[in-house]
Amino acid sequence: MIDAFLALLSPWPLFYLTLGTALGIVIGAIPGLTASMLIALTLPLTFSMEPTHAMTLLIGEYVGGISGGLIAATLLRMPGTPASIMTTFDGFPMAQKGRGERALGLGIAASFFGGVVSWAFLALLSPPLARLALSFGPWEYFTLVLMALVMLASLSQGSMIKGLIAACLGMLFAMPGIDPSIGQLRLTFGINDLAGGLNLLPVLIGTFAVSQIIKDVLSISTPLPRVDVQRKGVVIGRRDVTKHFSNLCRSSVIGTWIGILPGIGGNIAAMVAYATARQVSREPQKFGTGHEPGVVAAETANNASIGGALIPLITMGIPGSVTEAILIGALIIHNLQPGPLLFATNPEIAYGVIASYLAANILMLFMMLAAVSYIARVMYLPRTYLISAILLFCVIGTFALNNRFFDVWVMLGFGVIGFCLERVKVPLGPFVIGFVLAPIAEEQFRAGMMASAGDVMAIFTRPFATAFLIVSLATLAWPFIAERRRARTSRPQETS
Amino acid sequence: MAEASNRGDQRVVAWGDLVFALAVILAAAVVWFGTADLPPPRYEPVGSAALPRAIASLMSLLSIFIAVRAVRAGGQARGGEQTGGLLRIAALAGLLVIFVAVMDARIVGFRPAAAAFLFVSCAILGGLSLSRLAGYTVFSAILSLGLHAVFTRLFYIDLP
Repeated sequence: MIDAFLALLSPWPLFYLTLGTALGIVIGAIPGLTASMLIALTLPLTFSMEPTHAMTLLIGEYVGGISGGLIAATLLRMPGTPASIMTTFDGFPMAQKGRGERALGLGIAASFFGGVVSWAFLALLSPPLARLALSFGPWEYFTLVLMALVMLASLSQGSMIKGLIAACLGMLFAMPGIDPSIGQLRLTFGINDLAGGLNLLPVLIGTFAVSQIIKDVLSISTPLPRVDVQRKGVVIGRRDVTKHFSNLCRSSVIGTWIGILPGIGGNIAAMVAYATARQVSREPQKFGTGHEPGVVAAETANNASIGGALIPLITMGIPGSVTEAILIGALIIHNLQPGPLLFATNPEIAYGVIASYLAANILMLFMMLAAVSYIARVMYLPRTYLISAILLFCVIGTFALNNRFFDVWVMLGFGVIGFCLERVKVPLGPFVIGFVLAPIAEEQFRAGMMASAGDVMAIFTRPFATAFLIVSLATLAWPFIAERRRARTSRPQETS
Repeated sequence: MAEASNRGDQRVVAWGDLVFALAVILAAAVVWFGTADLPPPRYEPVGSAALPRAIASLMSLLSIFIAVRAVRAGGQARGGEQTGGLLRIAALAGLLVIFVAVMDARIVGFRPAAAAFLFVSCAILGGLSLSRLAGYTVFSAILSLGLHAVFTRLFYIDLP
């Protein structure tokens, strides 16, 4: 770990980390542009970089992107990223009362605190969890992937059935190409370019960046109100930290824990932390009217969720959210196998990610405190130019992957698919993560079946695999049980 | 009034759901058709076709739920909603397809194609006026030339 921190201090990693964090903050501050979009678009530029530098840049973008979202959420009531939705509830009323700087200062400090606490969890839990995961066989991996997909589908916003269909669709799109187990070509429909399967990058860029851009076009004519920010009121003191200390600690733990669970992003972490802060507050009626603990809870939890989500990513190769799926794509592009072996084969990457996460949080704190008034102006960049430039980047980035236009057409196709799915309220997270996890699920399932001579009941001879399966089934059954319980409790009330 | 609009919105979602369910069932049928000629498992118990077929079947089953629910809720087409925005999206999508197609067919190289794409997309998004045209022209020229230079000289990626 110390080596990883020392490596970060050398000029190139420091440059990439600073660049990544700054880019992330700027993009996060612009409503409609998200951290995952930025990371997907930057991915092609990292081909020629060393893997450690690439991961440093991307982690910086992730931290910066989530943190930058608070600026637009506070000043315009438009969450820069989905993770900042809860910040609008109290941040914007504070800004309306002339306390915008104070809200931003609290948000920045809370983001930093949440980041540091979740880093501690990441640093402490990752190595032992990776060692435990090394003892996993194919059945454990298969059921783990199954559990991740089921949780993702059922816990992502909207209908669970739609989430499950999205996961299945994503898995299906990963099927064309050469069957990894026996080398048989399948589902290529005579298209030679499909023999290698669909690449992750065009799918990611299409599904997220292009579909997001299409969505942004719908709101391009909405003018943004002008708000000025003074740097003076942004810095907060030790007394404020003491005042909000219990909220900071509680929200950090909630954010980290929710981040670890697959499929629940920073927005849900912020929602749960906000609701909890309100429940334990002596003045719950003040929440939503510009109450400081509301901003603190939301911003602490959404940043803490990043550290939590990085835990399953580097220990088991399981993405917790869309952004982690893209980070997994980054590792694969650099010929690195995400999962428990990463600590053994490429410790500089595994520990590099952990060290970069803390360093990015520190950089984010200083950058945002020093330049929040300037960053706030970025929100007003003309969207006409931004959207045009991003579309061009999508095309170049995808083309650069293999120097072929087939990937660009795939990207455009997935842009349309992503947009259509969003129009009918089908969550995109399970779709993309299904696409990422399908090859792992298939490989492990078939390896398990071969090892057990075709007996699927062998799952129940493995305690971890059985536990993962039970959790998956419970997650699937829970909405129905909850619905029945709700109906049963409401019936006596109606009769009385 | 608000209640009526909510009811309308629910109907729109139901209509979209129906189309979505049918599209998913169609995709599942394509998968069944595509895996029909795959050989049965020989050296291992599962085979190449099993997982795609299992996923397609599960997907179809779930889609039937969605379709039934959509029909029960009733369906109605989305009328005149954000027409300007949708037209803009259609124009931009068409432009994007033309931009990629002309480069793919080697009709035009990256620099002129990118400059034209940027100029037209700015015009679609921001509207046309004499004062804006100069800005669009400068932006298109600088970005297309700059990106070409960065990608070919810095990242050693051959752009068309």
